Amino acid sequence: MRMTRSLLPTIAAAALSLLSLPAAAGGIAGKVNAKVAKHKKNVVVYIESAAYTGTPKEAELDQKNQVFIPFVLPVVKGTTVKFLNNDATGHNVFSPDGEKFDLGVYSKDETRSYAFKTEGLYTILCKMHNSMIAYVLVLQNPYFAVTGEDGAFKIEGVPPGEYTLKVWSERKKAEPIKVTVAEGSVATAEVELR
Amino acid sequence: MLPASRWLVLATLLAADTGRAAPPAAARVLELTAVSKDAVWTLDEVTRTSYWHASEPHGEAASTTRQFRPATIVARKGEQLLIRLRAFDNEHGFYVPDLGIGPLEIKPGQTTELVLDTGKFAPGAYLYLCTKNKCSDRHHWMRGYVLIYPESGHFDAPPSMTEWGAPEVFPTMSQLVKVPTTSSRERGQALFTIKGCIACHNRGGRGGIRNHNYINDTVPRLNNRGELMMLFETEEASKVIDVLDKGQDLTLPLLQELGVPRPGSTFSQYQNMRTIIHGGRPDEGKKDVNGPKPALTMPEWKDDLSTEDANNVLGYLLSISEYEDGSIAEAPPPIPEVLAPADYQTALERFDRPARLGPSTGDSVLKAVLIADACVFLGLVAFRARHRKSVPGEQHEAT
Repeated sequence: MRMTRSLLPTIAAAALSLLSLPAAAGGIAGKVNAKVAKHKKNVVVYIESAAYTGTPKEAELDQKNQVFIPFVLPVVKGTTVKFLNNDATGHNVFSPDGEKFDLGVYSKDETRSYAFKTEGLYTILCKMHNSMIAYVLVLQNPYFAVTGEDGAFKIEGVPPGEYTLKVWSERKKAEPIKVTVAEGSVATAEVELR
Repeated sequence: MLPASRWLVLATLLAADTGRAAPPAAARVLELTAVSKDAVWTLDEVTRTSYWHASEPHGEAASTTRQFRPATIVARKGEQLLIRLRAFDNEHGFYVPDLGIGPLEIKPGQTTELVLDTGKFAPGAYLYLCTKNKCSDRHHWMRGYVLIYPESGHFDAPPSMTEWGAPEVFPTMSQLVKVPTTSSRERGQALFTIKGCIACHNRGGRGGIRNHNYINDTVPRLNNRGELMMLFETEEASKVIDVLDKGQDLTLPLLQELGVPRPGSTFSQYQNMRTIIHGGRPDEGKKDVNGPKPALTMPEWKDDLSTEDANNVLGYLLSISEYEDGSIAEAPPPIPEVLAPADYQTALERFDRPARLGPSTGDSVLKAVLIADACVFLGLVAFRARHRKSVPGEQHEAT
């Protein structure tokens, strides 16, 4: 097994993740619509609450060319986020939200981490560069997706059930949507930002 | 005997000589003088007499009318220019971002020579500007263009000299801005101009001046402060602007009371911006870590802008930001476009002074005097050494 993994890590990882999913899991796919095209991007579509007991994984938020990457990072409550610095200059990471934290100033190739234990939105800022803005959205469960340029999203591995689909956008709002996920099938949802 | 100080001067001059390319014999010499009183780089001859005559006739207060002509430097591609830069009355900076020149520090009493090989650049209009923010309250006037014409013929499409303000544009910019005494948005706008923010961040805070080896290539724009302060709609921004227009500080409780969507972030960003305005950004991020310091850095304004001033400036910047549902300030009237003359000859007649060839600076005279001094000194040393050889007793004594 160890040998197989070392030879074919990608395939093995994919197989393992498939095995770990409940066989009958479904999904939710759809599109975010907005009047202004740029608003379709970087929208988080997530299930407000679902039965979930898994262990949160680690996540990363990079800083490169004075930009936080990604712009918005949804995570499950309890996730530790590693804040990397891939710039030659020093960076600071802090958030005025939630319980508030400040990771101080640190230089290239250094990493500082923060464990997000409270649900909610954290704006991530850098005291040194005020054009650097990112968001960490701490959620109850891992059933979320972030839209790309075209506003399309797909939430995978959702256990069958009835859910409320919520939407986070930096500047716009959307009504929650009721969605029913049947065994092994993908439900669809259209989100209208206003 | 040559005093030690003179040796030092001579050594400096000779070292400076080896460090810079010798001007080609055929270089056209231009003498460019910075004058604070008229806030101008000029090709006019500036002497003490012409200076007083030009700016303060009969002891009257400095005229607001431009007296020395702002310089437009005209060249044909391939032409070599030797530009002698002088500062008449104050320290200035000379920067031609797109020709990779400067910023050079130009101090009164010194002449800085610059060889410009126009053959290396595409024909076009290249902005030059002063980089000493505090050289005068009209620092932003100190700019113009280097026009490089095609080797033969004329521009098919004459380049624009409007974006950063050509001399012809000045009449629309140049009403001497007065700073209102009471706190207001107009005061913020006036300070933005008079203190020179406009020189690098551009009219309307549009940014965009090239900043060599700066991580983002160009000076940041400031007309996006609204979104950076998490104010996305005109209604929420207007409430904040009202406070800043009064010169008051933003506080977290106040922002919560105003009902802005993310008061914590708005407050943090406000504090951050205030810190940068007052403290400057001496260590701007480098694009190439091993490269030089970026050409331009944000200076500190703590001695020039009070907290009230800084709040007014921020209020103005928020008013010119774009919001999701439109804008707050009325768009300023468009500035009429100014195009460079299509052909070289017209430009030369319109802008240039007659070319002067050959060396003429005091530098050369000083060098000649010092070299003569040095020769006399070395002669004396040689003479004395020879004389010593003929007196063995002395040599013995010395050992």
